[in-house]
Amino acid sequence: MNPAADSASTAETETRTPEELPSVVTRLFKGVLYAEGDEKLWQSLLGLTSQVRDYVSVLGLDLILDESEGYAFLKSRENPDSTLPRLIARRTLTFNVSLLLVLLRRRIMEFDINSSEVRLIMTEQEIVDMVALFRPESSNEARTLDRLRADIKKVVELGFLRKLKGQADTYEVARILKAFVDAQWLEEFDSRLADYRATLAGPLGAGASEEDSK
Amino acid sequence: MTHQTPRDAMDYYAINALRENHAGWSLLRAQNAPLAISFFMAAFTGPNQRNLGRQQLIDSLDDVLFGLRDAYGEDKFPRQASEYLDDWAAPERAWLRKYYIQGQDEPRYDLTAAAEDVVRWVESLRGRDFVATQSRLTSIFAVLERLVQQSETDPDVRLKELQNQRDAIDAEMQRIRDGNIRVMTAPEALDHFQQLTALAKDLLSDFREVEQNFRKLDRQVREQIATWDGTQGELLESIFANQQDISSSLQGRTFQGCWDYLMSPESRRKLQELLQRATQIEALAKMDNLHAVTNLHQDWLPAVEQTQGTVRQLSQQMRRLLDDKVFLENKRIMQLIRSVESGALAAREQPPPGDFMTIAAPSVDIILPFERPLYEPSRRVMVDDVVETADDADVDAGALFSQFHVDKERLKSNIDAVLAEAEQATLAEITAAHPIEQGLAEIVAYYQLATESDWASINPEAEQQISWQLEDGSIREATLEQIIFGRPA
Repeated sequence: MNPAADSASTAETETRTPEELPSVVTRLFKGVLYAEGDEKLWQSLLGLTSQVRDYVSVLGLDLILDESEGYAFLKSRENPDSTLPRLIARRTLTFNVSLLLVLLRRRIMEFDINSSEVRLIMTEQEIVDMVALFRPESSNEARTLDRLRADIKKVVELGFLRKLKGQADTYEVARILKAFVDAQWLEEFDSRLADYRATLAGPLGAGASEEDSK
Repeated sequence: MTHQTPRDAMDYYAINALRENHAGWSLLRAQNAPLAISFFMAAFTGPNQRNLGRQQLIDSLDDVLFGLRDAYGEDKFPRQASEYLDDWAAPERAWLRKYYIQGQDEPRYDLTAAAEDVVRWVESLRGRDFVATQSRLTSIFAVLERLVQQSETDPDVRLKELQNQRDAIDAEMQRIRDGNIRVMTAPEALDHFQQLTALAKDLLSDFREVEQNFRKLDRQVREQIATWDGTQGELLESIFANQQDISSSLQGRTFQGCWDYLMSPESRRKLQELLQRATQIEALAKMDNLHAVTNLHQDWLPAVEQTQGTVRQLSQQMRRLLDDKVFLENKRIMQLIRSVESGALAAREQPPPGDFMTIAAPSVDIILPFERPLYEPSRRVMVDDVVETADDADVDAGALFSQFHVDKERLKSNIDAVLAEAEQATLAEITAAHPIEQGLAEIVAYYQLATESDWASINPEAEQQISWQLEDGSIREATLEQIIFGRPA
């Protein structure tokens, strides 16, 4: 503990670490920071944006800050040659969960275009209806619904859907989905799907996608 | 509510279209219109409230329903309050606006302007207790006068008008000096009061309508953005032309004027003072809603602020939508989503198995090794649950309570006190000066002090005897090695 005390005493003369920086950075490490979730920390972040950027860049991370949408999070810097070990994990998604994200993304876009409200709220039934077209016909509807519920749960875990308090089966679609399901991500989805369909149509018939996301 | 059709083109077709499509008319035609309208009155227009939470509305609808079911039987209104509420807020009804505000998961509701118009029209059907005639006439005169005078461009005519007014005022002042004061009669006062109430309500409903019209304008712009084929520059140009329309529109300017007026400290002070004085008027003392009217401005301010807030929010989102990056990306994203959707449809019967995509977690995985509990082999614990009752009759429980503590500081000060007089002292000398109080334990503590101190020595060659007296008067004696405490250098 002594070295820390020493550096604190000498720091008086050097550029000082702003008091709020540690709490802002550690909070960002833990996950998305929403303006409405913690107004005080959000204000600190707005004041310390450049310090936070400098700090996390040492770790190969970028600060993504959307002031008008009111969220901020950390992202791995895209660098194919980098030998840095990954600090931010990538979560693997099944096809159905990935597709659900795409459909929710579409919903947000339509919502923004057609409505002046800020919060997109969907009931479970609306999500079911939205997805139904893309699921194979099944005689066992209960099973299909169970699977979809599991997918919804996964999306809730990922933080892109949020169950409303006090209202059964009602979800808010987190606007941050827009930052994660962006054009680049969709492009990748599209090309993987095209590859998969090519293998389906190929002489050998069905085959797993060649990419292994590990 | 204003409609796209110009007012002068209210022909058969336009009216028929209104009958088919207008939310207000559909409310009038609805089966449960009496229920809906009476509930709207009870919840919104009666207490002048807006932005009500869902639970609050369900409670007030339950009250209305309870009264009705009591009178007509349970079957008359079979649905739950919440179901009615959902029905009335559904897009095809649009009698209530349902929305979510930041930081709250409970939806909120407001009456739409169309529904409010219906409520007020229905209220007007009942007729008034007496028709406000004189006050209306005076206001018509006042408005007409102002209209004519302030539109007059000829300075001579205007000066002459003002001169006439001054003469009239002088004459009135002279009459009052002569002791001839004319006070408004009670009916006149009531008449004016009623008009005041009506005007105040009109104003509140104006605010609601203004807000709704802003939303409509906003929707038009959004549609324009969504269907735009040209370049972004052209789009912006077209929208700025439109924005110009919003702020310079009749509605926009009237609203701005109202806002400025309400926000001016001078007019607010004046309004407050006038309302305060109005409550003192004797003829109005018996009016029930006198108090409500004097709090008018407290209803206005939040209503105006809300409208202002809506406009602010709309323009902020519009800016976001028009942002360069978003505008271009949205087009690209829409293309990609369509492509993904058609691909997914084609692969519907045989979707890709296993993991398909990855997405970055929004957090950094930091696992602190020491936060993890380490493996600990479980031990088998023999539980012997047989309880044997021991016979404790001859155990002295007093031992539990007679614990004591030897205060070493006290002993040290005893040593120091003796050493103040001498270069060194044996334990026997010290205990002679300061008799032992706690028996053997105290001697052990002295012994411990001696072994810990650099200035004490223990001489195993010699012996010394230390004695102390117990509480019952008996003497105890201990023989131990000689301990010599020296004065610290």
